[in-house]
Amino acid sequence: METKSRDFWVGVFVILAIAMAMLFFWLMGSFSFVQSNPQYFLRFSFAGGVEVGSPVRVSGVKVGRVEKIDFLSGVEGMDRTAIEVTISVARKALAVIHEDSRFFVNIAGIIGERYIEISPGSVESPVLPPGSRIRAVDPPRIDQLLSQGYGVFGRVQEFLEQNEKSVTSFLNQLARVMDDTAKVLEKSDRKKIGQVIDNLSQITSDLRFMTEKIRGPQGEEFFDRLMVLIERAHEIDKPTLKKFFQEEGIRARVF
Amino acid sequence: MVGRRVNGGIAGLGRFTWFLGGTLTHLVSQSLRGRAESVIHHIWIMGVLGTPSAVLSLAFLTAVLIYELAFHLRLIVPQDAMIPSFTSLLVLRELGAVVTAMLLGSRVGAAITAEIATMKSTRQLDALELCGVNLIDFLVVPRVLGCVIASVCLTCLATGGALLITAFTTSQSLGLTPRFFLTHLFLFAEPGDLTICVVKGALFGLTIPIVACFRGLNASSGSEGVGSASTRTVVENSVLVILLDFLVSWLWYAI
Repeated sequence: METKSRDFWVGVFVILAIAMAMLFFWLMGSFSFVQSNPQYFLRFSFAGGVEVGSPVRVSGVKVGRVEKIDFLSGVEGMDRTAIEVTISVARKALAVIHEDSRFFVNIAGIIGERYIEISPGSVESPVLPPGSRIRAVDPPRIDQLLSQGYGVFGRVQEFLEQNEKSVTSFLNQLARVMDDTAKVLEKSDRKKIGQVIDNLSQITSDLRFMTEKIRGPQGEEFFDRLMVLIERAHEIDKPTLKKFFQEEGIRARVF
Repeated sequence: MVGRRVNGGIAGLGRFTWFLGGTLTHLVSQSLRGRAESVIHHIWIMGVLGTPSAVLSLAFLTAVLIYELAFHLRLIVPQDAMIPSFTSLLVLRELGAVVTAMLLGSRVGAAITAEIATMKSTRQLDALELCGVNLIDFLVVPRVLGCVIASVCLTCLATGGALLITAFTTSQSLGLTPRFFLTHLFLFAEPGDLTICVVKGALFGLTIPIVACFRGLNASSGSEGVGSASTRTVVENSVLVILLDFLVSWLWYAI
């Protein structure tokens, strides 16, 4: 009886330990006791720090995790080696993922935890079927931005150092112009300035009216007639003009 | 004097290596038939009876640790979600296996050495050898097998129990609800962290009885010899556990 009781407790001890280990693996998302969730396959050029186990969120709500990350080469439409990120998404979230949904890498919290964010997309667009392969939005290369920014700032600094005198002189002149403008504005009558602005506004509105007229059918007719006149004027040569003026001159003398 | 001690040390290392090789050979080559009863008995002694002390010790050590961690974390980053996450990482990667092994080494290691040294002192080992019984097969292998199983199970149970108990104790002092604690428990932990915890548990479970049996079999006769061998077992086991913990962590994470 004593041996049986001991064996029983040893069995309980081992079963509890295995159950605890399985519970831990389950909580870490290593395996699931129920049917596996539907998957999508996202293709990135740059994964931006996403790892297996990283969360997947729809509108900020956690609905899944990154299951697998693979390297692919020779993928159509991608110039470099592609990274295929397999994500699993809970069934309850499938209805809000549409064909125009965007999949991108986002950063959460101050420690910068990376996760896949899915924007739901428009209601008119059809629902994206599970198992789809999607070209995801590549995250910005912060390292590249920093290095490019460093280069730009370096060139700006170099330019300023080389043209220190001319930049200083330009800034001084600009300051002087600003001072003079301020003085002029202080001395001048503000009412007059207002009137000038009103007149300018009136002129621009008149100009707009005229340009609208020119662009309209009347304007087209005017230009057509003008072209006819110019063509006729080309036909008139010097003898004709002389004859015309002579006749007109005679008439003038007659009248 | 120094030369004699160095010679003695080298000879001791040689004897231990020979003993280790013999034990591992017997472990691999001999079947479990006829030894299951003995193995279960040792799991009962080493694992089941040691569970309350291991769980409680680890739980309160984790609780103390979490107070310190929370105090420093809140000074740097006021982000409570990180407190349970960092705690679980520390317990899974280091404390769970090491503290359990230390307790196991002190309790079980000393007991094994004292038992075998007393048997040697009272000529029981000589009697067994006269009967044609292989001492390694009869005394060492069941203890090693029992201790490996007990250590792995005890590590899982102590780690899980400690984290659960800490979830409730922190609700009193840190203002974190048990639900919040458990939700954020495995934010950073990965299945590999639990795997290394189990691997360490198995390795420590293998080391402790081998050292204890070796010291017991090589103890000098008399009550003084028994006491001296037990003390050496506890010290050597503690040092070996810390050394092996460092080596396994280094191999696992660095390489």
